[in-house]
Amino acid sequence: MRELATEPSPSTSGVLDPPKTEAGTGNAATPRKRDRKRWGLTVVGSVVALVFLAPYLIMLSGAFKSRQEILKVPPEYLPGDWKFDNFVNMWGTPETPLPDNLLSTVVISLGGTLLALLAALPAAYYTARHSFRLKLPFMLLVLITQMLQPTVLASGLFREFVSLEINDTWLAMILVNAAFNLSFAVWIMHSFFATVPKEIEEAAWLDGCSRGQSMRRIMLPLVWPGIVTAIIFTFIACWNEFAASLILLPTDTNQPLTVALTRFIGQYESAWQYVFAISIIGILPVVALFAMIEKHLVSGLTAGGVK
Amino acid sequence: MQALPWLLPALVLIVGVVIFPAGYMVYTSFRDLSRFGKDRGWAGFENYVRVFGLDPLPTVLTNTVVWTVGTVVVTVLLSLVLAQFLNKKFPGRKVLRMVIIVPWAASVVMTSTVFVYGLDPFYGIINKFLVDVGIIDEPYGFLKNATSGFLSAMAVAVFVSVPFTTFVVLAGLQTIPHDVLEAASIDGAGKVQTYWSVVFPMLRPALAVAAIINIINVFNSLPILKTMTGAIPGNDADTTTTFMFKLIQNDRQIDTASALSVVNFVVIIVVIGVYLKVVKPMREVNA
Amino acid sequence: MATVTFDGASRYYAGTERPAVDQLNLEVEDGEFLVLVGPSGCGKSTTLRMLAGLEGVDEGAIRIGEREVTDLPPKDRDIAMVFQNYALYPHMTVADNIGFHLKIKKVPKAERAERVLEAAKLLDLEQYLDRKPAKLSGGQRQRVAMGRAIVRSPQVFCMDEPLSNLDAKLRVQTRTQIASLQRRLGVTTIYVTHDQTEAMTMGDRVAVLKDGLLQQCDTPIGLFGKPKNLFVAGFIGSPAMNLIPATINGEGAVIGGQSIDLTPAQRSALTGSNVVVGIRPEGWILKPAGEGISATVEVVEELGSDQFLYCSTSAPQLATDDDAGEEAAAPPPITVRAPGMSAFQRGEKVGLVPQPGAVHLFDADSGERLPD
Repeated sequence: MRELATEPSPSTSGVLDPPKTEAGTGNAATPRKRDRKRWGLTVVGSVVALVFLAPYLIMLSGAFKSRQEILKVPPEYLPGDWKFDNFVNMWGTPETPLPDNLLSTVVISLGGTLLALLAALPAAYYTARHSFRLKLPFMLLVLITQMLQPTVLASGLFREFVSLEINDTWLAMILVNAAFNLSFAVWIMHSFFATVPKEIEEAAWLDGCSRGQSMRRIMLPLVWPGIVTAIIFTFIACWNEFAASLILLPTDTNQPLTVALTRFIGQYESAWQYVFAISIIGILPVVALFAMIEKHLVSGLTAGGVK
Repeated sequence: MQALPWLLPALVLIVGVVIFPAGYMVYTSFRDLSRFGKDRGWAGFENYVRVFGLDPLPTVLTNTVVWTVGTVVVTVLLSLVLAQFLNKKFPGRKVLRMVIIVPWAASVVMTSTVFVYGLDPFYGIINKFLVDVGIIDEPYGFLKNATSGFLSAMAVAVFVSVPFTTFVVLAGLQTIPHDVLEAASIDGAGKVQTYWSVVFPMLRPALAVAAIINIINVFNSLPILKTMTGAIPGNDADTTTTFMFKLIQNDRQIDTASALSVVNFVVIIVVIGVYLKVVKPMREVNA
Repeated sequence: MATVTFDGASRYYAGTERPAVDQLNLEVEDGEFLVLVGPSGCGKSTTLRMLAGLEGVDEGAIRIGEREVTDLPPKDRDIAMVFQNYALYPHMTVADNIGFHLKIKKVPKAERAERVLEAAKLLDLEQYLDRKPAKLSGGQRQRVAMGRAIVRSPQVFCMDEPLSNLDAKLRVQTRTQIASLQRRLGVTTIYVTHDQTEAMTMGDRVAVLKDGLLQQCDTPIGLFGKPKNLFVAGFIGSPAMNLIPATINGEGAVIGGQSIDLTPAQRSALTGSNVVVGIRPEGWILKPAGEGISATVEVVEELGSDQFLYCSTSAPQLATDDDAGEEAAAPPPITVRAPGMSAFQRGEKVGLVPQPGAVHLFDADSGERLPD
């Protein structure tokens, strides 16, 4: 079958048929020509990569500029004098209590992730293992919450938390983050649990495990990648959350980094160098975590819509 | 009933933080609230009448349609091309995949803030770059007027939406069996013919999912417009979502904002309905 | 080691009228190898899973030895099970898989290692102890599943079609190995299969199930020699018994012009006037054309040691349920065994006479065997 794709005619070994390295099957000229084409693609790829990285390169360069330099007209691409102490000084600026903001982000993210996981794990396990009359409605409900976002419910959430007197607290944001990320966690872990044959669990019971033991020793190790994916994705979503925090957390010490950031941008004067330094700190860990779970993301986010 | 203890934590969370506030919002939209949140009683459809009577509403609605449809269409088109590209084998493909993740993972506020800085007419680096490569003659205040600010924000929305969309399309591309493509080439189909008659139809489910999830995300998006055009006075660059936030934050009109939110909510429910009908995501769940 | 008793055990599934297992009464002797056999959906796997505690018992009771286990969780029943898909723990090595029960039971490490090695030796798995299941062949995985069961010395082995994922040749080999291993270990074993050859070759006794009901439980010879009803008669034996409907005419049943006499006991046991005559392929005497039932050879199946002739006759076989809808379909041919390498040709006319003593008679209405 491969022979067809390696024929010299360019129309058959085209876009849709990524050529594999198989020197020797075609005639002598073809592999070299293909090699040149592949490196050509690399060049195009580099340009694409640059486009996607550009804003973050601007961010990186800006984070090391001095206040004068970043507001200089006309601007320079790179800092003339690399100001590493932006990363130190930003913690004590008058615009916002940044240490508190970082703490907020961390507490809200950890709390939201933990709560989402605790609620999602049993639901994911049970729906993957058992059939019951209300399973479809339940999964549908979960799916619909994925489609809803705090923005559309902002006024309702605001009113609810004011009535409960937990407005302007971390707890409010932990609840919001956990609830709106629950569905991804349920779906991804559900699909992992569903791949473990139920006989494996039954074998563990017959081997003398209690339900708890079979969960801890057999099921959890087997679905661990799914759990990690759920944890990381939820954590990142909480970390980046903006809209609900804006409405629900008016006090500056309670606000997360995403909201605090906007305080540096004034109508007349902006401390861009700090905005970018904070952004670097806000983005780097998240990108690293994200890269770890990339291959499971699509299936979880599209919840069965794409195989 | 055996299922209940297992599902209870999730149900409590969903009911408490999604369903209840949704109901509370609908309820609020029929109440008369003071600026300080004091409930002054039943308002009937007064809030809705007020929403539909607001002067900026026609502009805002037009903006919302342009914003959502424009961003999603451009995103999907670019993603189709990019996914096709990433589906080829070339040195550095893995690195490119990782790079494309960055705008997806990064906080949208942080990403759009860079553009606010870069597009500044005086110290903006993107402006300088555009002048340096000769695309524009002199720096332009992209974010100083509503039209160009709105279009710039749409470009950023496309920028942050393309990665996810590309990965979904790529996942779709990878489900197309190789022998189908070989069969097409045996049948004498050229590259373009193969794409339109074989690949594209098989991508449709992936595209439907990507499009609908994007519609929801873009429609609900607050941070991009808030950071990029938030400083422009008036409502010429507002969508219903940012308009609603302004009603809550600046004007403290929770009741009117709730009425507007209910309208938004209905729109989203319709989109979800279309999603369920077209994509049938539940087919893998056997009840 | 222990006996196993099913005492009127039943299992209902939600949404179905008919129980999956209906009032099952069955005694399995200590050390016995009992095979549960039947077509898919007959309740054989459910029976096994009820014994293992993986499936609830809605009515009746199950006892292992003197101990009532009806409501015990699986972990407390001291049963080892070999699953159809083996259900090995993918994240554990072969040694950990085999030793997992001992680990849960907190058996000291040294003793554990010793018993795992012993089991591995028995099954030829020593050199694979450090591998993960994914790196093993199908046959090796099957042996690990066996190892996991035998290392425990449980009271009962449950085996749920443990050979169905192996290829034909390996299946025959492993069949013998499992049977001899069981006899050596002397552990009471309940073995589920849909393959009647497996059932006949492995079991001390075989229980035939259909639609959740026990049809007959007997030794292989008992099942083969005296099938209790039409279903068992058709299910056990390969090629299957010829089942030919006949009406009572005077003293006997007439098939293809041949009369088969019924004893007075048989006649009085009959509920209607119709019988089914069952004759196995080896129960015919081949005569030249003109004698006995006249038949035409349609297909000759040469196996070397035997030859099977598929003949069309004037005495058509009982149509099976599957063909019920197709009116035009020809009635199934009569199967006749001839010595291997015989000279029969397609189209040849022969005569068929039932061997004395090879005739099974069934009541056509109730399906029950008539008394001999």
